[in-house]
Amino acid sequence: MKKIAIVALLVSGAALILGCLSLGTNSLEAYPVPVLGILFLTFAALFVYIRYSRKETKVAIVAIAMLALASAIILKVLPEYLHGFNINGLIYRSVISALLLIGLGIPATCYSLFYFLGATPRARDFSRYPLLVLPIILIAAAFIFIIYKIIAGGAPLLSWSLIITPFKDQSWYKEVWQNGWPNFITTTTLQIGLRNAILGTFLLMGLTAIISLPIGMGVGVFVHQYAGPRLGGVIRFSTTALRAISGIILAIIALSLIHAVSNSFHGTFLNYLVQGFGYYPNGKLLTGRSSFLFASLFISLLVIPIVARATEEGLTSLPKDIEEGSLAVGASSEHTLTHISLPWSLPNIITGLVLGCAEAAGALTIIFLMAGTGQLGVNPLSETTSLAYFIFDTRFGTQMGDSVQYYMKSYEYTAAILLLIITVGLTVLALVLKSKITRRYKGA
Amino acid sequence: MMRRNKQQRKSNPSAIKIAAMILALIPVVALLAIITSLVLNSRTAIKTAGWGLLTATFNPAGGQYGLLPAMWGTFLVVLVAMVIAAPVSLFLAILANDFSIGFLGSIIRWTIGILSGIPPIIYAAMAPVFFLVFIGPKFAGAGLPEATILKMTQYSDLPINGSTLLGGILMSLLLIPFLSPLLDDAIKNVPHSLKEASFSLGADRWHTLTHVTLPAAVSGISSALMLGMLTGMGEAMIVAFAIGFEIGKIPQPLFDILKATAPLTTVIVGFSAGGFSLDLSGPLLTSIGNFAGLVLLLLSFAVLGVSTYLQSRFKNRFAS
Repeated sequence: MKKIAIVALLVSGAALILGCLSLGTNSLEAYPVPVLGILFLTFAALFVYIRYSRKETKVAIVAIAMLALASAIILKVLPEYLHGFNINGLIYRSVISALLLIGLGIPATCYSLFYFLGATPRARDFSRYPLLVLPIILIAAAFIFIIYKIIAGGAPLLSWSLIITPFKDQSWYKEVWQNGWPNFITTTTLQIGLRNAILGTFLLMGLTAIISLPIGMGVGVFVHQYAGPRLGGVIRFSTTALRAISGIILAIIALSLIHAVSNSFHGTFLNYLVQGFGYYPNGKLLTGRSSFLFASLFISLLVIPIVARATEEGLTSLPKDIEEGSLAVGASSEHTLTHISLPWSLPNIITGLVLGCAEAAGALTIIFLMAGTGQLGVNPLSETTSLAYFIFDTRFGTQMGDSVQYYMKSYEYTAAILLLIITVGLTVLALVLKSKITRRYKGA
Repeated sequence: MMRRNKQQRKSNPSAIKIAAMILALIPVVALLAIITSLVLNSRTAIKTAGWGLLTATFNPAGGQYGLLPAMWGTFLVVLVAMVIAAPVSLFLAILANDFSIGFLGSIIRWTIGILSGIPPIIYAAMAPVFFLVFIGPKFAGAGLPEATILKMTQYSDLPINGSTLLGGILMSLLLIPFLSPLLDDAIKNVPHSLKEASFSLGADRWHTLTHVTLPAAVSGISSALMLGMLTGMGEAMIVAFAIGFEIGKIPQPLFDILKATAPLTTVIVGFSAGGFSLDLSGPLLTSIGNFAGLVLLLLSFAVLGVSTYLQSRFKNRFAS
């Protein structure tokens, strides 16, 4: 029993591994047919053995054997490329063989593991692990591949000078007096760097936090403390809906707002406030696409629900006896709120805010229609820019009308590393805070 | 005494309450403003095209502005993403709870938590790489001589300029860290008493999982999957990089995921922002973009409503 089960386990494991590898490469096309043939033989032998030693007829094992034979024949017959049927593509045979191998390999491994472990109920539990673990391994491989590609592509180009230099691609006429006559010389500045994108990310995070903290806390406190069921339901639904609707809708509304303002109030302070402004090296005033302040107003619509939910959770988690203790010694409900409830829920609020900052750093869907290269400086009233937008710009820069795609295409992954450090760092911070919160006093 | 107190409170509400109320109304006002803006801006489109907006052909020269291809694109890409992401997230949740060995559960939770910090643009930027290593050799005949490819694909295109499949794969990577904590919660919230009853009757772990835990958690699971669909529907960056933003035709055959069928989100960008060039592309197209936004909003509300309904319906099921 053990020996034949070991052979079956090895063969089906090999089929699984071959199937997974076939998803990634085309060069293993010689192997699926023989492996499936061996799988057929092994499972036929396993069936015969079980039939005679235990007097059981296992239909599933016959089915696996027959399916293995059928897929071996199918793979033998299939041409190298599948095409036609109006399908827009040439499907290589390895896709089919990978699907067949994985589809057969999982039940085959489960069954052979079951018999290898002695066909007990405990073995039945253990034999399900291949089914549960294999898809996760495939996805984990995809994640590892992504992270490897980003680090391998970006880390060699990462340097201190890249981080502290702002990107500049500017040319202007400089007036020079020669022999009593003005002469205009074209001056060009070209700098490769990510400084303004990094600072812009932090500015965006800060402004978003400042805007969304009071509003989110207000929503949380009001819904928990004061609102009746109907009004509370409306507010809760709106905050959830703000988070649920696509950022692209907000982006389009922001875009039409910018256009409306720039058409009706062109050149006024409101226009500069919305669109952002900066100065060229020759002192010329330029308007941007939108200011940091305006962009973070829209991003905070995404962050408010997070902070509100965190505040509400914190207030709900306050043990009743603490709150009642405060009320019992004569404190007003406002005093209890500001001195007991809110301090208690502060860790929750900070966690929500940290998650919101990570969201703001990565929120590109809202700002990609109104951000720029960051050449106009980094302050709340200059043109929006962020690392996420920079990555977007290295692909679509030419369409957006700037030269980032031309000069900094190869720094895409470097910006991705820096963005990942910021967002993943903030997320880990939030996770640590959260695990601290779950460990505190729960009340009687 | 009681009445007097009540009157006093009514006539003299505290400053904190007023401030909280004003702040709490901001999201409501923002949502109303969003809906109003979308409706107002899509008036032109409705006046010009009317019911023609919900047909299958998009041909501005012929005066046809059908948005069905974009809706189908959204459906397809979310379908591909969910087909990959839903089982994997469910398996992760199962491994973290019922089938956990030692520290496996907390390792999975921490890893997923860390991965959830990766912003969508990272996956989007990976689209060319995934094309090179996966789509190209498998579906686009990479390495074949051009004459052979031309002969093979007389009546069809190759998925070179992006495909729904690529967008779906990348989107599933975004959805997995989003979905698995939700599914984890859904499975964790099944009362232990149910499982223990099953164990005490002699069922093994797998039988308990498939016959007790999963049926008991089905409301939470379906509600979580709805939220995942919502995230996928609203995702714009990944599909912009992997599929593109030009509205085309409904693919023939219907489920041809190797064709690039742009979903609603990118179609909105293509209309309103002229395909990233940032200039509004004429009042009519901008208006159609806003109408597409309205459609997306209504679809999102429908999915959100179903999810909320599922959650509320099964909320008190296990309250003992």
